[in-house]
Amino acid sequence: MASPKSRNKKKPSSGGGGGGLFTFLLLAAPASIFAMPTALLVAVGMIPSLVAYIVDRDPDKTAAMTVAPLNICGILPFTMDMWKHQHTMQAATQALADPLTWLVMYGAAAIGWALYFLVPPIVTNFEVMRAEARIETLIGKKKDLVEEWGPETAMTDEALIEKHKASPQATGQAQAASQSRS
Amino acid sequence: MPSDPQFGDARKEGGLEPVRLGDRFEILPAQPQTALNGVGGGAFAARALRGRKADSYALICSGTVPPRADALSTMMTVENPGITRLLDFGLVGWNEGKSRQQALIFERPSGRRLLNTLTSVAEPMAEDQILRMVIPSMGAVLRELSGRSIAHGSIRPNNMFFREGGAVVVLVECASAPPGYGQPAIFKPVEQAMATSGGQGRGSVLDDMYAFGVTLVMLALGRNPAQDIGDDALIDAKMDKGSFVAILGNARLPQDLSEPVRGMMLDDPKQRWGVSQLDLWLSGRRLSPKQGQLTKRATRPLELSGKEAWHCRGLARLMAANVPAAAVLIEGGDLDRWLRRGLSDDPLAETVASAADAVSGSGSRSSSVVDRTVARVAMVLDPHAPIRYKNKAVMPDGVGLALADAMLRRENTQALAEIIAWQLPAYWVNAQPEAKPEMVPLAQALEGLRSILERSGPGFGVERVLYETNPHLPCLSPIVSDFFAATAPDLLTALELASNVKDRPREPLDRHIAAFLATRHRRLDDALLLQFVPGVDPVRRITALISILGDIQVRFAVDPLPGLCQWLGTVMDPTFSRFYNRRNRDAVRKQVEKVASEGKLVELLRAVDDHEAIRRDALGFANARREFKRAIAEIDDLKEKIADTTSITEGVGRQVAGVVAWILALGISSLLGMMIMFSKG
Repeated sequence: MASPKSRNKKKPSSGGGGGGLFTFLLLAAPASIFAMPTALLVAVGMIPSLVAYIVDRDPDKTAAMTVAPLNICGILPFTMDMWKHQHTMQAATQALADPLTWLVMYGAAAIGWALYFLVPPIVTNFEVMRAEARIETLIGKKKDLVEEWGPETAMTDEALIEKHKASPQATGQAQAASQSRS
Repeated sequence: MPSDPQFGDARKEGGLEPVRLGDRFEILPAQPQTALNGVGGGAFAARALRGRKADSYALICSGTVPPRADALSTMMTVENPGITRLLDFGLVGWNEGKSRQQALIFERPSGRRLLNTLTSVAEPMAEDQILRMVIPSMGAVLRELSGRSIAHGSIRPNNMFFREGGAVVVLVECASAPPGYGQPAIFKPVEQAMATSGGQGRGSVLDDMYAFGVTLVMLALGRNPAQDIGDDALIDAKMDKGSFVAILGNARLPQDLSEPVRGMMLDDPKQRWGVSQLDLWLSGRRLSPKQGQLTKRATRPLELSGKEAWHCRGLARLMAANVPAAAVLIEGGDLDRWLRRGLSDDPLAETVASAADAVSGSGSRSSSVVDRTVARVAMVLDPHAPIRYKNKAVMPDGVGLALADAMLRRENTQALAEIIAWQLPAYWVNAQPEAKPEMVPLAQALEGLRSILERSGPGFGVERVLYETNPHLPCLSPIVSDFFAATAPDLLTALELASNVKDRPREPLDRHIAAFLATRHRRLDDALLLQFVPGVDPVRRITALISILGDIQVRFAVDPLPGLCQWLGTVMDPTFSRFYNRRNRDAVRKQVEKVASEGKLVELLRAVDDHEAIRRDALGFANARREFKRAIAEIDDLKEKIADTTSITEGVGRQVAGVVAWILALGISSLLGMMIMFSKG
C-alpha cells in the first residue's frame, strides 16, 4: 500500500485519463471507418490494455503504459500480415479465429503484466541499496568534517551561540554560525 | 659612561665568583665590605680591570629602597675630593646569576669615620679643625652638588671619613637611595622629620645645610647632644624651641662656630643659610646672628587626647595623630574658640572653618570624610608640614616616592591613593602662606593622575600612578623584580631571564607590568591595555601582550628572546583555537614553535594573528557546517525514502517497468518490421 504521503504526490485522477481516452476515440473512430479490419483486430487484441487502463487506479496509468506497448507488439504481426496480403474483414475474422493469434496477442499483454509486477520490486531493492550506500557515505563525511573542523561543526546555531556566550573566545565560531546560517 | 648591562655575562656569573661590570670593573662577592654598607644595599670589594688603580668598592643595590637612577649620570661627573666619587654603574648578574641587580662602583674612602655611630662619644673636634678643614671641604661639596641640583640627603658625622691622615674630610655616597632615606630625624628639618618613610620629598640643598649644621654640632661636642630624646619628642622640641636650642640643649658651641651652625639650623627655609651665605662666611664676612622665629603661642593651651597644644603647629601634629578626637574638636567648636580667643587669630579661624565645611558640608560622616577634614584642617594650621592623612605624612613632591616605598615594603597604598584622589596635594599648595610655584606643576600632575587612579583595569590604578610619579623606578612586578628592569627594553630582557625561573607564573603579565609598559613605552595605545582586563577574550589578551612586547623589541632592537617567546607560546592555546581546522591549527602551532626558537616576538604575532588565514579558516568552517547540515538533511531524506518502499515500488518501480515495456516493444516492433520488410512473400 502506498503511504498517504506518496499518494499525495501523485497527480489527481480527475479528468486526465478520461480526456486522453476521449481524444483517442475521437481520432480512432474516423480511422476505423477507413480501416475496419485493422480496427476490429486492434479492438479485440487490445482488450487487456483496456482492462489495465480501467483497473489501474494510478493516475499515471502505469499498468496500461506497461501492458499496452507489449500488447501492441502482440497485435502488430497480424495487422502487418493483413496489410501485406488482403486488408479485409474476412482476413480479420480468420485471424481472430486462429487461437495462435489470441495466444500471441494476449501472451504479449501477459508479458507486459509480468513486467508490471516484477520490475518494481527489483527497482525498489536497488533503490534501497543505493540509499543505504549513500547514507554510509554521508555518515563518513560527517565524521570527517567533525574530525577536521571540530565538534562545533555539529553544533546547532543556538548551541554555538550559547557556547560563545559562555566563552568569549568563541566569537569567531559564532560568526561562522551566522555565516553558515546565511 | 656607565657600563652597558650584559645579560649574557650576568647569567654565567654570580655566587662567589668575581662578577664583571662591563669590561672596566670586577666585583668580588666573596669579599663583603660591611663597614661601607649603604641604605640601598651591601658593599663588596671591587677592582678596576684597566686604567684606574684607585681603590674602589661596589654597592649592590638590594632593591628594597627606590633607586636614585635619575641622578646617577650627573653624580659621575662630580669630582670633588670631599665626596666619594661614583666611578661606574650598571647591572650585574648576582646571587649565582639568579638575579640581576644594579651595581654602583665608588672610590673607597680611606681612614676612619668622624663618628662611628650617632650614639658614639668621641673627642670633640678642635674648633680650628672644623673651621679650616670640615666646613671648607664640605662647603665645596655642597656647592658642587647644589650646582648640579643634587641633594645629598645623608650628611651626618658617621657618613664622613678622614682621609690623608685626617687632613681631608670625605662624605660618602648618596647615590644608592633617595635623599633623606635612612637619615635620622635629628638631621632633618621639622617638616621633613614629620614625614613618613619616603614621603619627605626630593630634598634640597637647604636640607643638606641643615644636616650639615647638626653634623657640626656633633663634631664640636664629640657626641649627639639629643641622643636621649626620642624622635617625636625631638620634633616637638624643635617646634617649641627651635632646632638649634632643641638639639643643643644646655651645651655650648665655640663662639666662631655658633654663627654658621645657627644659620644652617634655622627652621624657616627662607632664612636658613644656603651655600652662598656659607661662602660669604668662609670668605670672612661675618653676618649678624639670626634668631629662629618661633611659632606664635596661645594664651592658653588646647587639650587633645590628654596632651596640650600651645601653638598651631603642635596642635596640627596632635590632630593628625588623634583623628577622631580632632574631629570632635572641630565639630564641637572648641578649635574655633581657641583660635579666636586663645590665639587671637580670627582669619585663621575662618580659614579652618571653611576647610572643614568644604569636606564635611556634604552631610556625610564617613571615616573617610573625617580623615579628610582633619587632614585639611591640619594643613591650614601648619601649612609647611607634610600632608598628614590616615597613617601617612608626605610632602606633595614625596607622594610618588612614598608610594614606591610602600610598594617595596608591601604595605597598603590605600592612604596614598586617597591623598591623590582627594586632591590633597593641590590643597596643600593652596594652603601655603607664600606661593610655591615649583609645587604647582607637581600638584597639577597629581591631579591629572586622578583619572588614571579611578580606572581599575590593568595598566591603570595605583600601579600606573606609581610609575608615572617615579620615572626611573624599576618594574616592581614579582615576575621581574629580581632582574631590575627600569626601561621598556630592560623589561624584555628581564622577562627573558624570568622565563628560565622554575616557578614562573603562567603568563608574563600582571598589573605592575601592564602599568610599567603603559608608562615607559609612551607609544603604547591605551586601547591595548583594555585587553588585559579580566574577562576579555584570552586571544585578544595574549595578542595585545605580544603586540606590545614585539613593538618594543623592534623599536629598541632588543636581542632575540627565545625564552620569552616560548613562555608566550605556552599560553597561546586560545589563539590556536581560533583556527577550527585541525590541520591549520597544527600548522600554526608548528609555526609558533619554530618562530619562538628564533626569539622574534613580531614573527610570533604574525604566526598567530594572520587575519587572512583566520578569515579563510572561518569561511572554511562555515562551509563545513553547511556541508554537515546538508548531509544530515540528505540522510534524513534517504531514511524516510527507504522506510517507504511502497512508494518506490509504486512510483519509480512502475515507471521503470513502463519504460522497460516500451523499450522491449520498440525492439520487438523493429525486428518484426524488418522481418516483414525483407520477407519474400
